[in-house]
Amino acid sequence: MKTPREILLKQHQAVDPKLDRMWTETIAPELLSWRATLRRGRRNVTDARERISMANVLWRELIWPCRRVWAGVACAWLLIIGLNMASFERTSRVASKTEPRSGEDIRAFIEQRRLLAQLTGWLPEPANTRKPNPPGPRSDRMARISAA
Amino acid sequence: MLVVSECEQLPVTQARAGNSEAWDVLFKRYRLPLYAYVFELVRNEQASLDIVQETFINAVRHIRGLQHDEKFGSWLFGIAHQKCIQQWRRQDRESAVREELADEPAGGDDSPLDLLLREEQEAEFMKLVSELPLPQRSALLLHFVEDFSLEEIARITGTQVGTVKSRLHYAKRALRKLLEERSL
Repeated sequence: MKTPREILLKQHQAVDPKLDRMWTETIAPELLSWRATLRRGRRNVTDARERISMANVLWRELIWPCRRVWAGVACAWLLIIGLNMASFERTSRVASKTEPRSGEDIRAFIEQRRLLAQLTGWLPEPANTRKPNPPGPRSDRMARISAA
Repeated sequence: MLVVSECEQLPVTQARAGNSEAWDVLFKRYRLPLYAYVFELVRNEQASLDIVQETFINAVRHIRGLQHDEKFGSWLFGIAHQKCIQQWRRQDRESAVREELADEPAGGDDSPLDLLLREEQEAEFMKLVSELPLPQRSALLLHFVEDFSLEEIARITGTQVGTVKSRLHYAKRALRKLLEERSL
């Protein structure tokens, strides 16, 4: 007397060698490639974990113990950056608003300066008004070179 | 004879870690029952071998998704069952047989070991199994081959427990009828 299971398995026992071949030809190589993938995945996971643990150590050792100081520094920097941006905006706005001076304004300014100079008796020497010496005759230059 | 209670000793954890010896043990344990189940559903040797192969390859690739080691058997048969459904769809045959059966109160929850067959009944048994409608055949085979519980069969076949009960009831009734006829 047999159970249905025994009958069913006996009925299909002839296929056993084919199943064995299936293991060696297909499933075992698939298993190898899967293991390689698994190992690669594990390595990646380990790398990621190491990175996370380094960040953790940095946070625990460096930042968390003096968190108030870091927060203060961060606030100060934020304030500085904010002020800097605000002043930059204002100056750029002013610069964009100013128009180029007209020739009349410049003439009035020169006149005022002249009057001030007359009153105080001090005349500022105009910068770079003296013209550079014109080059001498070529024969002089040759004589200077030979003397040297 | 291997029975389901041995599942707890199966090296599923080692297999999950990629141990090839563990996979060898699992393959040897399930290859023939799985083939028998698949063959009785698709009735084609080459297609059955292909399905068994695809089932194990899928199992290798996705074993990390298996939550409970003790459910390895039903999980593996579940993959094979899905492959059989794909095969049926490809062949587009016997579709009329795959209609849902109306739920009926179950006959009794007896073990597959309660049913013993004489040698001269073996061929009749196999013939009867092959003549059963696919849903009943599937439930009966899972019950006989691996002694899966109603819940496990329902999970494998993607149906309700009540439906599985009904299918098993019809299949067993047909089988008993045959045996009674033969014994008279």
